[in-house]
Amino acid sequence: MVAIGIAFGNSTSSISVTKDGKVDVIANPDGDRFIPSALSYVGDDEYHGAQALAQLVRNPKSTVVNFRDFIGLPFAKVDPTYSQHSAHPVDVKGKVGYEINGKTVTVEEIAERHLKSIKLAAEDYIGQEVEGAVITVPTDFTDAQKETLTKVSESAGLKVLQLINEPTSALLAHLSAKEELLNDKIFVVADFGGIRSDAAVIAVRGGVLTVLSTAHDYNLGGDKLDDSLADFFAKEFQKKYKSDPKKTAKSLAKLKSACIITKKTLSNVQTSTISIDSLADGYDFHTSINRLRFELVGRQIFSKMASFVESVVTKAGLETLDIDEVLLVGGSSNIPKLASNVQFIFPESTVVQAPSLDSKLDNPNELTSKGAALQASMIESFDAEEIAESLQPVVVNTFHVSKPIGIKNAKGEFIQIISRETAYPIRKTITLEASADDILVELYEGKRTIKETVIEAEKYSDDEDSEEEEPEIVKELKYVPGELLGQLAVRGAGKGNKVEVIVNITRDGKLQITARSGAVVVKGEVQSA
Amino acid sequence: MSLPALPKDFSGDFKPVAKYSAAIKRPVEPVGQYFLAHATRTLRGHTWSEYEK
Ligand SMILES: Nc1ncnc2c1ncn2[C@@H]1O[C@H](COP(=O)(O)OP(=O)(O)OP(=O)(O)O)[C@@H](O)[C@H]1O
Ligand SMILES: [Mg+2]
Repeated sequence: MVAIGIAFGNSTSSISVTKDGKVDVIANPDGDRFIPSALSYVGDDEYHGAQALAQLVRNPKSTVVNFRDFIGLPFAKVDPTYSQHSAHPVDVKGKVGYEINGKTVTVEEIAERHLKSIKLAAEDYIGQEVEGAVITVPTDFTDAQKETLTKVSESAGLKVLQLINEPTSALLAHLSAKEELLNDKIFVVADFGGIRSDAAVIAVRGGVLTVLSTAHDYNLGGDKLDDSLADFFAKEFQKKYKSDPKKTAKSLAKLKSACIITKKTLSNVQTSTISIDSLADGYDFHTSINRLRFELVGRQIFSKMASFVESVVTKAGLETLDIDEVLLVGGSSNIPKLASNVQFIFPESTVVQAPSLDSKLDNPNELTSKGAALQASMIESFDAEEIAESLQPVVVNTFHVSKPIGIKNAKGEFIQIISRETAYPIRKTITLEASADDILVELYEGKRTIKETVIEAEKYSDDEDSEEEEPEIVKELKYVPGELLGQLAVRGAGKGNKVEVIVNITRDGKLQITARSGAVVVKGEVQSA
Repeated sequence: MSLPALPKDFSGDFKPVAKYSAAIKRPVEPVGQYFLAHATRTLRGHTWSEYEK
């Protein structure tokens, strides 16, 4: 079966395919890799993607945007805020629909048409029929929403092999590309889209990913930046021509669409021009803006975004110090200021992954669909029963160790063997050297401590402000031996020889420790509380 | 990195001292090859060595 990966956002959707082990985001026939999730009906014609979005200026009432979150929700539960300048959601027998050119269309039909276009775009590119897909969904999608999306996709001719969580998919793509799946780390995946922001703390343990916390903000995203830019330019226009470009729906739509282009340009270069013919009352608008001004205009939004990232860390019961890496995802994560603000709230030991901080990284909006394509290529040869079997609660709901487990070395330091949040069953091995003929292996739980180092501020005699500089306190996370779990004697290991220590936790929580040096093998067992 | 010497008065091979902290039940994300190995281990009771080859 030919299967693709689809990221289906409220703002954009993208398609990824794998070929010869490489995964790529493909362009639709319009040349777009981030395809607006939009449909527009004008006369007898249906427009999709960027062509549909362009209709927002002339035909807003027959153009549907920002509908992904409405799929499978009762009408009473939807928030129509982001349908204000397009077709409005209406109640269709308790579900969400739209009145378009006098006809009622359900959101499911809209989604089906969208996915059908996605399927055709993929087939156009691959030159083969595409039968299946792995589609990503937000971590807060309800079971009803997932069921509806699966049904809708199948009506569009795309069999859903699996629905996977957006942040997990993005992280899978990131780690696969870097070949770093086997490095145990704790990540924050922060996804800044168009109308919403989502974040998750994810533990990566032996290549297995576990979500520790999630956060959602349905009122934060690139659209807010577009609005603040529009306000800023509207004031400038008003001052110049005594005319309000926000007073008609049409001039507002024109202004906003120009602001989106300007905003995106400023992610790459320091200044951008904006020019709109006949914006309002017959006046043209030509002006320019630099990145710094944009950063000031969007200041509140950028700081909200940074606090949002902090909030998901707190929700996991962690501190920023516990986070090894932050992966920025989504279209708005292209913005350098967003990345630097996020970097600012984390200690230096946390790596923030964003293209403005590391030029080797691709567009952060590619990751979500790429992960879905990787998953699709992995499971496309399986039959549906095999996939369903692996998703059973008995497989997925697993115990995770709550504290790291390791041993004490000759210097008294804690040497971690099993990271906290590792899923059962576990088997880990480390090799150390015997400092004597007979040695002691002490199994410990790690205790989390924070080591603070004070770095005195440098004083420059010719700098007047130097007196006020505060010494900097650098915090460092350190695990030390905590609770002693057991002691193992290895007699006759032989000084200088290698000793292999194997820690094993079975499915039912039995912890076995084995130390081996040549022919000498010693075993012990510890129980779970 | 090395392991410390065994104290002279230590008797026996293994002394359990305490139980390790209670584990937390959470869902793992069903994606990627290592999850698949986890699933197969759980469902078919495969041993580790079959996956370490
Ligand atoms: N290069 C860029 N610089 C700045 N912003 C960008 C850039 N590219 C895309 N965006 C913005 O990213 C947002 C869309 O992001 P994305 O495609 O991740 O959203 P989505 O996940 O589909 O939507 P949502 O969060 O609304 O569900 C838009 O606001 C768009 O203007
Ligand atoms: Mg999104």
